[in-house]
Amino acid sequence: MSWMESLIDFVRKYKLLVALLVLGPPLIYLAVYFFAPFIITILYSFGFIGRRGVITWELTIKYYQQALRWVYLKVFYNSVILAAITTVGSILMAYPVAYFIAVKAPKKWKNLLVVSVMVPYWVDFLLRTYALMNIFTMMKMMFTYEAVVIGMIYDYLPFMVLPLYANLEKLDKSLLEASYTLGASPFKTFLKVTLPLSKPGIASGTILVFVPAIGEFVVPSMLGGVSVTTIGTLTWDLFLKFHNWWRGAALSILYIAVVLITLIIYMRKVGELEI
Amino acid sequence: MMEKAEYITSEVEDMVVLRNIVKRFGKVVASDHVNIEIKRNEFFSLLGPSGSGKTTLLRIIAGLEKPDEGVVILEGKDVTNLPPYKRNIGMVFQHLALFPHMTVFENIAYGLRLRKFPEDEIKKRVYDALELVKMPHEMFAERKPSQLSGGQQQRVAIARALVTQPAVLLLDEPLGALDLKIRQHMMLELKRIQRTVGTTFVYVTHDQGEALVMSDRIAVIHEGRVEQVGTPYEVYEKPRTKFVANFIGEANFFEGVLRNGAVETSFGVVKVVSDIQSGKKVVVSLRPERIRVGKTAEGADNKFEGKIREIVYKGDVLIVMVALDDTEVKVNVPATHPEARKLREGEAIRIGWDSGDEAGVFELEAE
Amino acid sequence: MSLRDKLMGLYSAFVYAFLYVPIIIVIIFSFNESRTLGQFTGFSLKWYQVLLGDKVVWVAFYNSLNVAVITTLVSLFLGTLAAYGMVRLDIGGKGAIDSLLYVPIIIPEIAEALSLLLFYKFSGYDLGWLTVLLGHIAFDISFVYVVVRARLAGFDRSLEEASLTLGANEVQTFLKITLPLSMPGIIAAALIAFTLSFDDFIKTAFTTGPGFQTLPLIIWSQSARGGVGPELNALTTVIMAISMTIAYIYAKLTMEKQ
Repeated sequence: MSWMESLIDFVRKYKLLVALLVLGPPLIYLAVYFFAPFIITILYSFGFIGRRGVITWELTIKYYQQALRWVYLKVFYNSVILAAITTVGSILMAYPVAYFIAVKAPKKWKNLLVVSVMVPYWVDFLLRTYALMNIFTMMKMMFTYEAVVIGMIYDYLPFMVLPLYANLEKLDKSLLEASYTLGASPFKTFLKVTLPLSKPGIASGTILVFVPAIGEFVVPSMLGGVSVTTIGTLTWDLFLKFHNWWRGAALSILYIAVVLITLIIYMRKVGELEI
Repeated sequence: MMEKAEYITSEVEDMVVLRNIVKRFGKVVASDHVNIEIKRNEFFSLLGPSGSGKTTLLRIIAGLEKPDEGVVILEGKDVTNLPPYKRNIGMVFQHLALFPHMTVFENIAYGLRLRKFPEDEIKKRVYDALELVKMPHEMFAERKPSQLSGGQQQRVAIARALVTQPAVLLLDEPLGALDLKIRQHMMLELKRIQRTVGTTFVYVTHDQGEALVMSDRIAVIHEGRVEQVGTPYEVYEKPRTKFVANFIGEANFFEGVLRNGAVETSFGVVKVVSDIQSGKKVVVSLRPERIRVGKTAEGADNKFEGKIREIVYKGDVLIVMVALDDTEVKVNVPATHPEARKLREGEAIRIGWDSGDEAGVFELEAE
Repeated sequence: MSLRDKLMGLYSAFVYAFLYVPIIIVIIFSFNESRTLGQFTGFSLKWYQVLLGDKVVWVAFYNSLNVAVITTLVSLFLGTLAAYGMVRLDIGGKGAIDSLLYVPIIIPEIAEALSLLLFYKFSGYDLGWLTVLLGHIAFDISFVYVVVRARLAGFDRSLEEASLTLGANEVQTFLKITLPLSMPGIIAAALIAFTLSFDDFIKTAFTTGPGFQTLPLIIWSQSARGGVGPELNALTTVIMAISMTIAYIYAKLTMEKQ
């Protein structure tokens, strides 16, 4: 045992070294395969040209100028609108269900009900959207805006249900009872007690839905085809169809900046987000 | 059955010595120059309110915290820099900390396995330990902690800590989560176990009832400092500071200036016995059960006439609040007192007590 | 239950139906005799037979599995390491490191995908299996980190302290107490990592090279070309079955913990 003990003493003395050994590998991996790519993306957005380490580059902002053209801003705008509709739609669908399970359902059923909501979502996004394709094809609704909206809500619903449920579950039922004894009707109680108290849940859900929905690619592409364009489909086309990496990079950086700013505002207002 | 002799591991008189221990957490001083000596075979309690630093001291003895200054001596050896697993201690945690993924048997055997005891020896010791805490092994050895009641988990935690025969057993408020009746039963059980095995017990609690019932000696801790160390009798009857008098049991407090063996209070002159300098401001503490009423107060040194403001009936005792001018005095009148039934709210009453040990006198400190 | 409650229950049932119907339809029509949609002409397993005989699908399945397993192992190791390091070590700058470690989760997937592509182009990697794998691992490390860290945060330190007082040193305590008790969390993280990699589409689409296909890519390309069809339905059903089985195991584990 003595080598183990001297190892432990070593660990105690050289805390910093151990920290490096433990946290180093994950951080280094991310540095190489996550952060470095981002820096390169930023460089590309400024017109970077380089292959296999050889750099020929003229710094330029023309790609940002291109990305900010009216055409693209319109796409941004449409994406935000679509994301907003998705968010509102999913709140309207998710809230009653979450409320029902959290507040009204008998205890034995709660777990089962929550799991049942989640079960369809263990299936991959892509597959679920494909499943919708079946229905829309049958109903001859393919490639319509409505199909995309329904598809978005369908795919993002669980991200709204879970935070709402978690929030409502923790609600102190005796607060509702207190409200009743003070003379408020169930409807009034809902408006004045439940709803305000579920704001954090609504906020979490909104963040989990709205932010990713802006850049969604799969749903508009599969269900909307060429008739619906979002930042997601645009980026895809720029990169994989037209190979215009520079404009695509600039567009992405703008998009990421918007996302980060939204999140920072959210965190300032609410605190931390939980997953 | 474990014999007492098997538990005593050394000949040292002072099993645990804390010398000049100082421990800070940021700006807070949890332990402020603490000196304590705990003797062999003692049931020693660290008693104090929440946040007084008593748990910190226990953890320093265990080696789970390292003191900023000072020395910890166990069985005559300086262990200040040794980790817990190199100290000959056992510990019962506040929330028991039984390993949930192991059976009762495995929990208790854990320490023995680490010390590489042979399998049949382990079995014998584990069964003996269960017998010591009065849990038949046929019923409990294979259960998991989640299948036991609070009191049963308690016993397993004790058995686990004792089976390795440590020199000192440290207990961190182990009875806090139990119901009142079970707690009272466990207090006697702990005392019995300690007497049986003879191990030195160091017990942390904020409940003076527990400390008074179980301990051989008590250290009263307040804001990181030791206020007084003594037997239960000593800390109760002869408190040395106002804090101890207030914390243990109840007391009435009267302020005044001490002159010639008496204190001039707002309701009269109280005769006391004290070696504090004449002319100083003091506080007199007087326990409610030391005050006599009615006829029995006749021969007292200190006699006062007052008015009964309130009577609370508590079964075995009547709590009588007596007004002496502007001062309210709490008197505990036993239900067996001849005049107990005649007391009425609003009526006059005579109360009295003797000077001397009956009333403690302390210098009034600026607070 | 009042009328309002009944209405709410009804509405919830409707939502549940909304969730399940598309999936059920996929499953039903994977057993359809003919190709026509909307009409169930007869029960048949022939599409599954076609699937079994389709070499391309098998190769893609193997690829998806291969990438997912390696990704899980590597990201599990690195992510758990990071989680333990953050929770147990006593160093400054924890907040910053924590943010660095979970940033990948916040950034939109398509942005990550394209930056990986640019990175590979710049560094001269050949696109294919390796590039897909490396991208998956980066993303999964963050997820594993977040999940394991959350589980560790709720861990009862006094169990470790009890072990120390019973005579075990830090290493023994870690092996006998900490690790076994963290297992449910680690397994949960492994399952999430596996599923994320197996189901991944966007990152894979951007970083894959000629000839390297995964199952999601097949579904994508075939549905884009030929629209809906019974073989795809069959394939979808199979993948759904795999995902659901894994998720079921995951749910069982988290349920037990409670």
